[in-house]
Amino acid sequence: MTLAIIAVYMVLVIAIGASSNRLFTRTGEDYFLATRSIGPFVLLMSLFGTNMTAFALLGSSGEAYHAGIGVFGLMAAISALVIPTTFFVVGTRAWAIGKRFAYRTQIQFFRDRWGSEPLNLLLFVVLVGLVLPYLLIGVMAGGITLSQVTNNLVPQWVGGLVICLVVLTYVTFGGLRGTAWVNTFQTLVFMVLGAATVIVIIGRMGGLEALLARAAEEQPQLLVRGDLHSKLRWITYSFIPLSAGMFPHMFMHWLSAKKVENFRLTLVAYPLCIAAVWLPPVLLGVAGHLDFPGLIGGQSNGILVQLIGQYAPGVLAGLLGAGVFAAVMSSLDSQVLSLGTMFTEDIVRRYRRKAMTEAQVILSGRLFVAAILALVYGISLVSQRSIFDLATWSFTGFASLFPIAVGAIFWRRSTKEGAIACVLTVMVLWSYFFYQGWGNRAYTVGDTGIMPVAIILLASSTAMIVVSLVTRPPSDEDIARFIS
Amino acid sequence: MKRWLFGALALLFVLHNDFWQWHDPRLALGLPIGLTYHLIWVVAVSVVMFLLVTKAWPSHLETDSSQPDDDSGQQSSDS
Repeated sequence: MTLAIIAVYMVLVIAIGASSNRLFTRTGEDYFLATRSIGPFVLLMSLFGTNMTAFALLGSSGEAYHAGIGVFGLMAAISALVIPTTFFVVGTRAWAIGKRFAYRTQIQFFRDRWGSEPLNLLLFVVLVGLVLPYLLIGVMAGGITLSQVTNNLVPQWVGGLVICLVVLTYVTFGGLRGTAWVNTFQTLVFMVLGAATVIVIIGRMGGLEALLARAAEEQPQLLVRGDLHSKLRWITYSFIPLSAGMFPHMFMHWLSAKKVENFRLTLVAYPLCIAAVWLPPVLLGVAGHLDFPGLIGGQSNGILVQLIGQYAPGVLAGLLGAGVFAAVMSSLDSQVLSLGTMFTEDIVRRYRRKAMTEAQVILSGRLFVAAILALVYGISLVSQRSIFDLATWSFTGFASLFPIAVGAIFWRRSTKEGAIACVLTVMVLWSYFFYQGWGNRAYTVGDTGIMPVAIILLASSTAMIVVSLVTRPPSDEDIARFIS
Repeated sequence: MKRWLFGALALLFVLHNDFWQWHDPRLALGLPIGLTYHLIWVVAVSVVMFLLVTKAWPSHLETDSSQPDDDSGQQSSDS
């Protein structure tokens, strides 16, 4: 039954993606950006679904298993403030500049803004490097989930492979339009199934009141922040959601909007959507600790599946599998498409001597999507890092690059040297902290509670400001093209 | 109005750090008080966002995006 439900779900997803192909105009602009035609509801679902990975379902419940209800405030609530604000301040302006200059990637924008070819290459390397672990989260989560909901009947490598093949199929057929349509469907699926899962499981555990009374008796520390959350970590974690301002896939979806007004619904509804998606897994993480105590580290990422196995096997297990796959694929598709766009636009078209036809541009995008999926799938087979750790490090890198987005859009005095210094600072410090924190999922700088993102962001901002001030500013004419 | 609304966002950012109820085990509206607080806080964020998009919307961006541009030098047009 479980496998049948997941199979039906996959067929539905492919059908939706493939159906978008009838609107395909066979141009690069249409394949990569849906000819900038996306309306408000699909934009909301695309942006939200893209940002909610398996991390939001499995990682959050796994984290709540260890750290209790505070996980909601730490990760979800602060994202509900910072991400829409980022969309309002940066996203709407990036949309306007992108539409005006027909940009398809954020690298094109930054390169033109400061007129720097080295920045083009540097950003390409850094952004691709940071998206790859984020992609891994999805593929690994898909494999783990399918294996667990089928009681190991299906090996982990099969789940990851299925996800990669399905995403490859509908991204190839539908490009960004297909991706946006499928994202809309998938986002609705995992929102509804998340709510259904918590209602069913907590109902079978005796209801919310009984569950909280039991938690207060057996694991009271999970119902408060208390000693499970460092206050310094709480404050400095606030910088992590700035990552949404630098994700290539977010930028791609911003550019796809038909009108700037289409952002309005996203800004208002995004916080509520976050609350709706995060509350169920956080509660279930706490509930899981009561029934399955003693899980260590990343083992807790499977707590949702274990709860379903105990309280609602069969149909609900299949639906949860579909829900996790929905969360995974709604991120994976946009991420691989954005990387395919970057490879095509920022490398192949940029450095190829001969002009490309529209058909060649589309083919290039599709080939890169396939190659990236193959690479990520291969890495997922040998990777052991926990889902949560991978996400945090990826977010840390993107958030630390945020000063260049702000500088490009708002700061007239910013220079290409400042932007390059900012990126290099992120590369050096991120590598250092990643090396320091390897294997320690609770790593903070010197065990102070300070998240690495705070230090790297401070340093990258300082580098951007200081180096910009001591180097020659762009001409007024160049600045006027981007900042009025 | 725009300044007031950005001020409200800054205030919400500060209020996110509800350290005064860090160890409070009570329930509020049927949930642990820390969880209820942040759920209400999220709704408040949404309300401020609603006011931002209705009272301080950057409508000029629509015009900016369609300004004629003959010097973009972009690869989308040059390759």
